[in-house]
Amino acid sequence: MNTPRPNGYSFFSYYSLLHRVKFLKPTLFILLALLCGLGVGVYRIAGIERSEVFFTNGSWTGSKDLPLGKDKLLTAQASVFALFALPSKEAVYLFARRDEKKELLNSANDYTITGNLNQISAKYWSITAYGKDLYLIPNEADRYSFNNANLVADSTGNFTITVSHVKKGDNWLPAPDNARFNLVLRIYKGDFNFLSGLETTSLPEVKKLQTP
Amino acid sequence: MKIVSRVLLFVVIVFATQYLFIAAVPKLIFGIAQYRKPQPVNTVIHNGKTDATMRKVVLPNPDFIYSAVFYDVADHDLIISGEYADSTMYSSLAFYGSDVQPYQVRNNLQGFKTKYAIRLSSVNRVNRTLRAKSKKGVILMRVLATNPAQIAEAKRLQSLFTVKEVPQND
Repeated sequence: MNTPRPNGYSFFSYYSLLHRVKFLKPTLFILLALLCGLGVGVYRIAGIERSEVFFTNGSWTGSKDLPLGKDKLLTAQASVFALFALPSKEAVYLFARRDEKKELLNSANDYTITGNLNQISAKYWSITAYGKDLYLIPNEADRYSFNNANLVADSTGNFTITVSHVKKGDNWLPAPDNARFNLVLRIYKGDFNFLSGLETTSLPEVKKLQTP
Repeated sequence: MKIVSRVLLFVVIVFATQYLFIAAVPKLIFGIAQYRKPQPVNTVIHNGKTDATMRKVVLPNPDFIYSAVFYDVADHDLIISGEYADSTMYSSLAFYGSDVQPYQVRNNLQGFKTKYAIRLSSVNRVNRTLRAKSKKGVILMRVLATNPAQIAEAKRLQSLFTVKEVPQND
């Protein structure tokens, strides 16, 4: 059945095309639904902070027991944000995207990470800075992280890491130039008792340095 | 009524698409990683000390030295040989399926013999064989190396890490 074309519409007008090409409407409908589906999928994968399996302790967010392979959303999130990560029994990964005031980490500011070497009971632990793209941040010092073996600490084990775009302090962790960045705390072969209380135990504290 | 059914159809397509997309993401990422690999399957790829130039995998750990094998055990078994680090260090061998999730991790602190030879197979076998979760996947050897002596040891361990294809009925 031909739909009558209202006066004033030319042969190639939008109205005319929609009515002449019968398949266009359902095709657009399905295409729009598919694009919306992909958008929802991307939004859900990107919403890793909204996941209920993660706990937050100070600035750090992570999980001790990810049901990888069972939970499809978590598996997809782990594939995107932590490709080839180890299972929790081997290593625990905690992420910091925000400071103590829940503001996104941005190297327009400087930050300190304070803690004690004995605070984390594990074979190895480290704090690494990554750019917004989750890759290591290029810097002249070739310094990307500090770990329990190379941190400069006082006689009681207290340490302060300064995260800044310019060199500052003994434990300087280079940040990008005026851009967002992330921190990752890795704990390998953590002591059982330490990991049991990871949600509440004291962890190195990430604080924005107040400029005078 | 027509509008309601169309809205319902729209919601069903959106729901199904997002579900399938989320389920497919790990395999898509494996496909991309495999496409970008610098060596053929079943050969060892050694990496040096990790730095900012390494941009193939997100969140690389700069304290580790990695060796990787993209495996394909559809037609062959693989014998993976090497040595773990001593207990003053940390080294591990992690097996990932095509969904890029680990299904087996062995490290030097678990009491395994220092030297290992693991047979990886996609078919059922008796003891001493590791059944691959999928015919294609990745094996990652990690060695913690935070000082020059450990870096030298990690490189020695890398040189001992080999894979060899053997017939499935061998």
